[in-house]
Amino acid sequence: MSDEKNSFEEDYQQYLKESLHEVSNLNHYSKEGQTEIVTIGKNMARRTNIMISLAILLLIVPIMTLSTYMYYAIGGKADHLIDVVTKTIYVTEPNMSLKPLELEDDISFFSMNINFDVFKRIGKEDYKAGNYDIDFLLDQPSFPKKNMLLDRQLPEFPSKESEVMIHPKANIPFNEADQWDILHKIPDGTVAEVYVSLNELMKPDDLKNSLPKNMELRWLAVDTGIDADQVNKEGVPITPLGYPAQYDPTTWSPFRTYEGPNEEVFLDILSLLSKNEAVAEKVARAKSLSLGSRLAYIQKHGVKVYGAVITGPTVELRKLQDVKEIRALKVGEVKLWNWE
Amino acid sequence: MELGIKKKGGSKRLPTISGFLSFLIALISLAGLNVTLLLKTPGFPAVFLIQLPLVGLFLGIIGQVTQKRSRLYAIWGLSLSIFLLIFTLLMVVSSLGINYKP
Repeated sequence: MSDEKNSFEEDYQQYLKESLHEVSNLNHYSKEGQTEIVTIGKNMARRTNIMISLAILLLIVPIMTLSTYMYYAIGGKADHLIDVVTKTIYVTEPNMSLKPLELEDDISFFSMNINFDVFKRIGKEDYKAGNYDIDFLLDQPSFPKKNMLLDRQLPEFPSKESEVMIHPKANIPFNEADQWDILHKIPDGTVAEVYVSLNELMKPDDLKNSLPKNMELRWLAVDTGIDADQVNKEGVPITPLGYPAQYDPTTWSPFRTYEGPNEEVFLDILSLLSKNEAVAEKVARAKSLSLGSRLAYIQKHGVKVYGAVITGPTVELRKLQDVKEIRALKVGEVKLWNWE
Repeated sequence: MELGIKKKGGSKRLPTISGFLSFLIALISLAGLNVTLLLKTPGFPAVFLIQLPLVGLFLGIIGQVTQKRSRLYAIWGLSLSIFLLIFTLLMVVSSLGINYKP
């Protein structure tokens, strides 16, 4: 036991000697050399710190941008939001259309902005009616910033008194005689847009057949069960829901339908909007659309219209006074002659 | 404790020159990309997104081939260059998925 201990002691002393010998053989730095090494080390550490900190800071903007693009691109979220917004315009704004191909988008950090022009057909030409600018924070839209160019714009906050297409069971809030008077006093060489209210609910084809020739039916206001009250269950004003009456040749328009009538597209759009009602209600003028109950009503009772937008030469539109199905008329936009 | 010169190499802690250049180029690319994104300048910044990252990638790979020197800068340069190239690819793919127009 004692021999073993002595052996360990000797090994240890031997190792200690070798280590001390090795250290004494090291070439010691001079004072200047030591200072230089410390300076190099400090500079190196400083440079590394600066470069790595800079890299991390510079990565923030690209990573945030990429995350935002991925959020909107994966699953077609941006396209879906754009689809909801544009289709809301088609079914809530009478005689208003847009050019989906010209819609512009701009993606920023966790937000998207879309910008597009809207058009109204007056006579034979589409006139720019204004511009919509909508910001989305992720998938939550803000209220649209509108820049409308119309002379007789529909009110931004609809009410019973400001409605232009009236259900047969509702009271007409404007003086009908005044509107016919306006139509008669507009010069002959003009084209105009008029909102008509019917005496009774009609099928779209029956309405088309009852109109005089040389004018164009543009938009149909569909009975959705609550249009007579003009407010929803909570008393919030509603606006008509409807759809374009004509084939729309505009590229990517939902009403560029080769198969089936516009009615089917209208119902498909309502179905889409009912699943995205919060977005649709932000875009539409009426802050309540009650789409679930209104869609169910249409599916149960079929598409019957109570109002329409008609455009044509003013002279021809005056003939609407003789159409017995028409209860009231309100004059919309008027433009110079473009009918031929 | 004393400072002394060991038998093998005194420059082991210093990075390779190509690694340093790779990191520097990647930082320049990132800075250019930041400016492009923040100012929303029109057009595709190919210099910052493809050309410089490719040079940084090449130099970063060269910077890995060393035994004596530190690979720290080369690893950063290589990683940032790869990030920039992947960023470019993902941005192009996701841009095509947002309001794509033929």
